[in-house]
Amino acid sequence: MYWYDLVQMAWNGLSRNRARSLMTLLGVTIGAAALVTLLAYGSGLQHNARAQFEALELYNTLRVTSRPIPFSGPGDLLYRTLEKDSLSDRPAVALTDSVVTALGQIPGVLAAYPEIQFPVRIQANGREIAGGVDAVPMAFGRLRAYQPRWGRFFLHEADTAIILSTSMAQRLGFSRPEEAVGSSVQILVAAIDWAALQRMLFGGWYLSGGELPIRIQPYRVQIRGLLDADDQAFAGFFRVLMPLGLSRRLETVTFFSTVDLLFRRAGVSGYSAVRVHLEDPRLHDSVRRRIAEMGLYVTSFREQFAELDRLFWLIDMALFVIGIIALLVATIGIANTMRMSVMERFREIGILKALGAYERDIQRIFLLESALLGLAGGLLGWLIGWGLAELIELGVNVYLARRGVPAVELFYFTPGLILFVGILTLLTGLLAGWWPARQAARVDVLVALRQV
Amino acid sequence: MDIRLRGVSKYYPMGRAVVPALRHVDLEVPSGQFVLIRGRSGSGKSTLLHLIAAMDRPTAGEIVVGPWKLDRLSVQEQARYRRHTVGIVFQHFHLIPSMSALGNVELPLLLDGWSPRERRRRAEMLLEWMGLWDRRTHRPVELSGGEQQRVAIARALALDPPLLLADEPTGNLDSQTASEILALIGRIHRESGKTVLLVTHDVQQAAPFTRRLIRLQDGEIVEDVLV
Ligand SMILES: Nc1ncnc2c1ncn2[C@@H]1O[C@H](COP(=O)(O)OP(=O)(O)OP(=O)(O)O)[C@@H](O)[C@H]1O
Ligand SMILES: [Mg+2]
Repeated sequence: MYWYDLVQMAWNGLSRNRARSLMTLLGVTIGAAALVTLLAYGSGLQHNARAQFEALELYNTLRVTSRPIPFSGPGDLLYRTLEKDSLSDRPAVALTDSVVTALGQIPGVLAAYPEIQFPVRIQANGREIAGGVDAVPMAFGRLRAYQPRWGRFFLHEADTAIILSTSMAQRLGFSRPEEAVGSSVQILVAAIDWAALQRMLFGGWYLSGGELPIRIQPYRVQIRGLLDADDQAFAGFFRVLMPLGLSRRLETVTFFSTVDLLFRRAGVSGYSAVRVHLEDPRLHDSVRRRIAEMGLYVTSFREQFAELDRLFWLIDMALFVIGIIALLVATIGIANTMRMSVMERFREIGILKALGAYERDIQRIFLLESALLGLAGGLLGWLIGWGLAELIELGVNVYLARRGVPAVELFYFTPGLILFVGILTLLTGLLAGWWPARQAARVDVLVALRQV
Repeated sequence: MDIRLRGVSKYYPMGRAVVPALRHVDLEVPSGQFVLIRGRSGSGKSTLLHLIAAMDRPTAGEIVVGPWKLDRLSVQEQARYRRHTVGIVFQHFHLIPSMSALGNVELPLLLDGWSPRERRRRAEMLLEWMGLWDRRTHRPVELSGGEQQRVAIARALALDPPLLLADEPTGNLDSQTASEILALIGRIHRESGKTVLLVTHDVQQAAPFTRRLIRLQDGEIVEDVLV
């Protein structure tokens, strides 16, 4: 038999009981749509993290600490605090300013700067937003990722200025980016109130009146420039840049100094961490070796991202399994439909065989039917899953836009995905049809013809 | 194409017992002969035709049709043998209900890989010859019993097999239509020279073209006469 005729006969078989075929198709479509949406969501997560990583130049960044940080996965933060003392037996090298300078002089290092990060609130036009400060060295003026879209980079180390994202400026009530550049805003920074802390530590919580030992300190700064929020993705929502010199002049509680307060060991002072920015990611290994020779510990974001990749792989697998279950249920639907179809056409199969049809051809007709169901369901499911993802994304972005958050890409569709889902549904269709088709081919002519 | 059966038996297991449908049948039919087979219900007529059509295998004995040794054929060879050597017509027509008369006649040609155009031409020719030209697009339910049987005969002839087997082709028809169908089969025999095995009770109506008359009883040939 010709393929053309086989397909024609398979099609006729499907159109005979249209309602049943359509219902089976619907099942496969829903299963495939679920799979497509979940997989696209998984790769969206990964894609966003990767884009974020690149936007923040983290591929080029090493984090240097006095003690090792056994960071082998996100779950290890707990382990890291529990085991902190038993990790090293050699004396730790304090991260003083001279060490920072020495790190900066290693060939291939663009800049080494103490890691200073702290929360901040920004007030302007009667509005207030929250953000997180990243103190950056002047050398970053050379990096593309730090080139403001509007305005310019900091004038000098002690420039009393900040750089925000366009979306933050918008939330601060500047209707046009140009308006924000150069205008003066107030920032509120939390500083430790040492007197209150002592009261709290030695007198207990009740003596301190239930207050945190923290003082809010206002400063006036200028908005020097605006980064494109889209380029920074999620970071564009909260990231505030400040020159290193200025950040040192502010009295702040950094994210790390609170931890240091609790865990800092006697004899080790200095910064809790120093960031080293490479001129070229290819210099990663050599710079790393040099830093290790100085008795310091290096965590590279690139390695952490590899760990993160493993986590994403797990998430992807979990999503895949959920999607596959949906598809599997649909596959059982195909198998059931095919069985019914074979039973209904029992006599016709007998006639075909009496006329000299090969078992091979009969098997192919039924396999084609189930493959068609699978493939059509897969393609429809892809379309519907894609449409669904677009709708969800639109909804989320409309919601975010009202709050001044830059648009996010939740779902990420690759050409590989359509191919993968197409092949997968085709295969599941063939798999579901295999046994019914085999049974159809094996029908006994005389038994079938006796059914009148 | 000549047919030779030697010591052919067919037993059907029924629970513990076995039902003998054919018992040690010896039969030789020379090429081109018109054989009428009769016998009471259950005497083994259909069983005999099914064995010759390779739709079943004998329990014992050997069947040779032309170059084909039927008891040695694989499933695939059986199908090819049926397709090219045997045209078979049933009492219940066994047409495919969802297909038109043309579609049904084209079926063996389609199975044999003919192009749509060639098989259409052949099927149209056959239906015209059967006097069914204006019924060619009708489905089986839209045809009378006699018309359905003529479509089935056209289908049996589609690949021009040397052997035509008809198992009570008139069993479901009134006597007027039955004699038309039998006359048609007689005409086919006369014009094509095919070997014809016809199982029927209408001995009178088939008499004009019957060359040989076989009577079966309890699975044995009890009468075999040339007329
Ligand atoms: N599949 C089967 N299983 C068991 N017994 C069978 C089977 N097919 C036929 N028989 C038996 O074999 C015997 C011969 O059957 P067969 O159909 O050949 O008779 P027949 O001469 O064609 O009868 P009829 O005129 O009623 O068609 C009968 O006794 C029948 O009951
Ligand atoms: Mg019979």
